[in-house]
Amino acid sequence: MIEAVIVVNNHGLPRLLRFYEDYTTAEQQKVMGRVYEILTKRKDTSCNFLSGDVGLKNPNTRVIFRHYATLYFAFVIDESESPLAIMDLIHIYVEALDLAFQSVCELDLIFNADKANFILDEVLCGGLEAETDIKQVTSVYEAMNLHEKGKG
Amino acid sequence: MAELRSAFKDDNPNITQCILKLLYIEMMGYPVSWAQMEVVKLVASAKDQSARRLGYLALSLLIDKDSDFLFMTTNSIKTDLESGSPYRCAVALHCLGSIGNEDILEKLAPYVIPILGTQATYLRKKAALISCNICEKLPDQAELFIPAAKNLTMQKSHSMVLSGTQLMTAILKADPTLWDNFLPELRNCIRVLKSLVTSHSGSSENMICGVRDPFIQVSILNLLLVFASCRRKLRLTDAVDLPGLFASLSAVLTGSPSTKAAGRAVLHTAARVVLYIGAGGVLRDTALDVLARFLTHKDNNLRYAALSTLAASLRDGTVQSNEISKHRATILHCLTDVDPTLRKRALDASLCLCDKTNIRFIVSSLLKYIKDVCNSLSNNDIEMRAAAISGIILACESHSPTPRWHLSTLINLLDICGGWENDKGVGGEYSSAKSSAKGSSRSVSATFLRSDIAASVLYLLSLHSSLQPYAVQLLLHRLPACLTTMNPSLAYLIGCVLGEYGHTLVLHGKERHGEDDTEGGHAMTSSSSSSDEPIDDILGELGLDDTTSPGTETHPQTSVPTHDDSHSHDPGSKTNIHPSLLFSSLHSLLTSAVCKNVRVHSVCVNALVKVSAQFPSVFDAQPVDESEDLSDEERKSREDIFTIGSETKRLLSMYAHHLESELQTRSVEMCTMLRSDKVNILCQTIPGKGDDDDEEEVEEESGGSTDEKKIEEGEKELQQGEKAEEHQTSAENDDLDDLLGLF
Repeated sequence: MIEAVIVVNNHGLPRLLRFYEDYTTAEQQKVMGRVYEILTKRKDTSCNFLSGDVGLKNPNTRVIFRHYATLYFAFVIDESESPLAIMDLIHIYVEALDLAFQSVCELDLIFNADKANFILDEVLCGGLEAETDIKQVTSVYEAMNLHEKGKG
Repeated sequence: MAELRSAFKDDNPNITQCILKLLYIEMMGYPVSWAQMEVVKLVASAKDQSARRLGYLALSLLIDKDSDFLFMTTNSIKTDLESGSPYRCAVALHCLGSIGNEDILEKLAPYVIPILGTQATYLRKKAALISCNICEKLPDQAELFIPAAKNLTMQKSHSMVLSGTQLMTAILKADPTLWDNFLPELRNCIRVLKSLVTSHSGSSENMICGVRDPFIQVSILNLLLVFASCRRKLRLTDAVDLPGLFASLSAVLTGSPSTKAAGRAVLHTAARVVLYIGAGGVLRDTALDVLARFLTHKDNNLRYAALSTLAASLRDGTVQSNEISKHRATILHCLTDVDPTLRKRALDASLCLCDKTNIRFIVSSLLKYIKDVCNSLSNNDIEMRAAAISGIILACESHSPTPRWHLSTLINLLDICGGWENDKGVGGEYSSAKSSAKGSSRSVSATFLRSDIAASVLYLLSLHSSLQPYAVQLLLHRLPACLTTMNPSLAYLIGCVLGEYGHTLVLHGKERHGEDDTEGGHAMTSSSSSSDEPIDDILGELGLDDTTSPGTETHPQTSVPTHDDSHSHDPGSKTNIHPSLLFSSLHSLLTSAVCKNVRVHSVCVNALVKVSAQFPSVFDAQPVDESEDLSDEERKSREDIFTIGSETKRLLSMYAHHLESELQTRSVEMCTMLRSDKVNILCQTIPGKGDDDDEEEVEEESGGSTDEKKIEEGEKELQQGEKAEEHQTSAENDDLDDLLGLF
């Protein structure tokens, strides 16, 4: 399963933090800091997988990350997930964000952090992949938004 | 923050804005636990959907999972789950997904189960994933979800199948004994897998880069893996009736396009499954082919995936190392890759690859790697070094072809790594102590010795007594290098071995000399070279050669005080090792700076005491008179022996006032014994059924743990030999000269 989803920018500021296990705020910040530290040391040509302890409860985790412009999208997974498949999943999430915000950029994530979280909820649930079809993800998300507007 | 607090107190209508700000602040890392009550209030009293949605999000992000606030919300979650509205249910499920608390999950599990049975596919999917979580946290409840899992996997819609397989995987992981419930569903999944790969009709939904629904494919493959591991855990080896399994696996392996990431992911997982379930024949070859292609690909990610799969399969035992022996070179090449993650994986894979046939090659490459590449101070290199060294030690213990090879590898390893202060590498301490490359000028207070390697060597020697003379020979050969590079661990080992087993080399030499005068020398050389020929070539490359051709090599500069001419050095072909060699080696160790390390120091002093006790005749030599009629060589040899005796006495007496009590005791006893006239009698070994003489008790302490009769004979021979040497011909004197001038 996926233990955590961490989106940080190039300077180490968090844009989205989601942990699927119990961690206090302080612990979450520590993990994020550790992930950022090892991410910035990587060259662009090296592989997108990192193994090693990042401070989570399960020590056998790997960090799969992708670098888009100013943001690093990192998924921390355990041994049961395939790293190559998670790379695809990260891309699906980013594409979904793109469709929802129309050419997403970092500012969109800052000012619409709740919406980014909602979209993440459609793709992942409880640390497992829920929906991998981008069209489905976006259609459900739109439906939810319409429903809210209708009621509210 | 003060504004926020007041905003909450005033019951601001813009409460959603406040909560959003709260979330942002929390993400930045500031403590917001004071606001948890507000969040609970929002969830409980949410009037419309947007507020509810936000409230649940805040719940999953902000609330401390152990706190009581969470319990207060259980009721609202329950109401929402039971409500007919899919939107309310959905957000409640999302929230449950992020909360990992076992108590809450246990309480709400009964409300999740009915959702699994509803018509709404969207809700069923989410509920299935939450159930996966429940199975993981509460394994005894796994059985409740079996019917739901079965139902889901039989659906037409692919996303249902995805959730179903994930649920089945979770149930199997939680409780492996339930595997027999799922056979029909497994067959269906295999069919689905095959149809995904082979059929070209059907909807093009979920096409990612030309691969139909890669996530389901990977999920089904994962399920097969977990299923196989369940049966393995339960040790069931009978064949399971899963028709079409091999056919669909081969369809996946051949049909998936390998040019795009999605296809590669599927291929990789399929290969892993094929190897794990122990399929044979063409299928296995195809899988190994796929992994081989990945290994040589220029994309680092693929190489990483291939290396980690190979290492895992080798460790499992599902792949034998002879099957991938042709890729050995590629794996070893990855050791020197730029990317540190890849290097780690390559090290792992090459250590798993070791077995009796290829261990020499692999270990020599690893030694080369440690020596050449891992000599910087970066954290990565230090970790790699430590991992490589411990890996080599383990591999040697399990797979070494001969004890002799094992011994020489351990000593080589110690030679390379013994000089490094601390392989765990705490950055600050390390850099302040080390001022130049490769271990010279170390901080003298360093107490980190590789005593683990030294202990393995000593254990090996105690098991195989035939190796003892060889070990002493090897270490004597290494001594000058050890002194120049100040390698404390090697010095420690040399001290131990010379003390314990130094006499065996002398005896060995004596025996051989007795057997056959002319052949003896070559016998020793040839016996040591025949069994280690391949390794010697490689060692020769590394410059760590331990056998030499007769009489041509000269040794590098040494710091031995007693002999300042450097004769040609040839341990192999000389059979007549004079005990003075042992003495002079120990002298040089004791007087060199490497001995400032406390443990090395005490070991060397003890060794000197032991060797003195074993060869006390060296103290019998009298100073040479001018009037005596001796040839130059005889005079020199007697002078040399006398010098050795007096130097030993001097060094031992230095410790008579040492702070450490054991050293002090030994030194005083030994000096007293040496001063007496009856040194030879005192140092005789005790016969089998011992008498209780005081003098003999003193000897017992420093006699060592060796065969007593051999020592006696050896000593007698030595005494006779010495007397003979004084009257020998010049040819034999040359021999002796060479020996004494070894350093």
